[in-house]
Amino acid sequence: MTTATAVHPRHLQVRGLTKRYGQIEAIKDLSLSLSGGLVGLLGPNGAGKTTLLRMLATVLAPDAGSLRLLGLDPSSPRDRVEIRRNLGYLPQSPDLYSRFTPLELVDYVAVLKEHTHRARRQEEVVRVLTAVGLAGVMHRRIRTLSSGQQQRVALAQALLGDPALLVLDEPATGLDPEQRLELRSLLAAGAARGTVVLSTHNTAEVAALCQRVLVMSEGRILFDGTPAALQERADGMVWEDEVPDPAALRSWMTAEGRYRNLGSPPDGASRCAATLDDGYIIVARRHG
Amino acid sequence: MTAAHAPILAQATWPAARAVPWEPLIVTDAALVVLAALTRGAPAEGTMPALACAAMAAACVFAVNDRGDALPAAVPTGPMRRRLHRLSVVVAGAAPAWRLLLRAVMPGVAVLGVLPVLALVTAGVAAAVWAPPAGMGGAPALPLLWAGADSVVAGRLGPAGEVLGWWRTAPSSVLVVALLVLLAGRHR
Repeated sequence: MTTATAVHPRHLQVRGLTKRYGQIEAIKDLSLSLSGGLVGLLGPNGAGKTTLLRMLATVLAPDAGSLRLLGLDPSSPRDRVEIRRNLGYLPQSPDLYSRFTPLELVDYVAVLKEHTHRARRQEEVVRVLTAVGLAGVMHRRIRTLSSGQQQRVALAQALLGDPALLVLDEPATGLDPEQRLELRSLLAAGAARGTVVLSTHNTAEVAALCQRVLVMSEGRILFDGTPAALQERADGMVWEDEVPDPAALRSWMTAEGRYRNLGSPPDGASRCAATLDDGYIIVARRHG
Repeated sequence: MTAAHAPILAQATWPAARAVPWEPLIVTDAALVVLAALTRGAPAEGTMPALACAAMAAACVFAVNDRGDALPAAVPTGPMRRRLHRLSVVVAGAAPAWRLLLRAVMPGVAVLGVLPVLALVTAGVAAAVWAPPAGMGGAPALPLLWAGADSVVAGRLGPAGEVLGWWRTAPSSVLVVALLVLLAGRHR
């Protein structure tokens, strides 16, 4: 008989975390403390977002540093199992068993998540599939579903049992705008229960959802604050012109055919309001 | 495995069996039937069962490798439990077919039992666990390479070559060592 370990749904602490793949240091001495809510992870490809999320999901052990998830230590086998009982994880682009139906696949994961009471498990599986909008296709083979529907099957298994900690690697991939809105509601509900950490390339998603945003690059956190504070980083640093400015950190053509420049504007430049994208690029480029 | 895991693994057996790609095993069986028919009467009685055994083991290692394992990566039922469960499902499905196949198409041949296949399969699965991610796909080749080396070069190596034949001559020991190597990688 084992004693249940106390879980603190809003406690997540990372100290000096390091992870190497051969000679490459994917995460470099990273420290972080979260106390619930919805946290968005932004960064270019190869920034270390997926590696960090895999460690937060107890799938990958760090080479150095310490982790406390839900108030428990994932390096202890007993604590790790307890964390996993209270954790939902969506890996990046997972392979799904294409012969299965959504109902069968989520039911299989539910069994592995120790939902052994058949009737209650069936009820829970139907609940999460309905929550992600798949009630109408839960008996169809996964291979016949669209990529957005397949992504929602993978998301559904992460929601089993209303976990206190949700770790989601690019959950909005393949979803259409309406499905993205539904995803926002689901994640907001998850954040109300505990902690949701998600990675994305979509700053609009972060602006709409997250109380806190982390910008990562080369295994380090470059920014940690609110989406509004990230946007403010670009205040006064955005201007438009007929031509790209070679001195700008970044220039690109807008739909109107003008060039939007980021950096230190020249005298007399036509400045414009900064967006979250601008703030993200300023932070990422300055450290890049 | 503890008693607490028994109902979980019992309920997971049918979906785990459905998740296994059985096609390579079926194709291997069919290829062995054809090969046995073509070589019937030829003086290859020692090589044929060994080749069949290695091919069967390679197909089993391929089937145990779970491409869909990323999705339940963070469930309380850990990776080693899931891996051993899948291994037992594959072996339970493949072993009777293997015995039937040998009896049907290679009667009278000095037949290798299930244990050598199991030893090679477990060695292949253990290799997959310890291989770097880029090399995991090569694990099914291990049984073929091992049995191939045993057939081709073992005789030239003198007493040292006997080691290559342990999967046939001492399959229980190979199985135990492979299982220990496999269990040592339980967190991988």
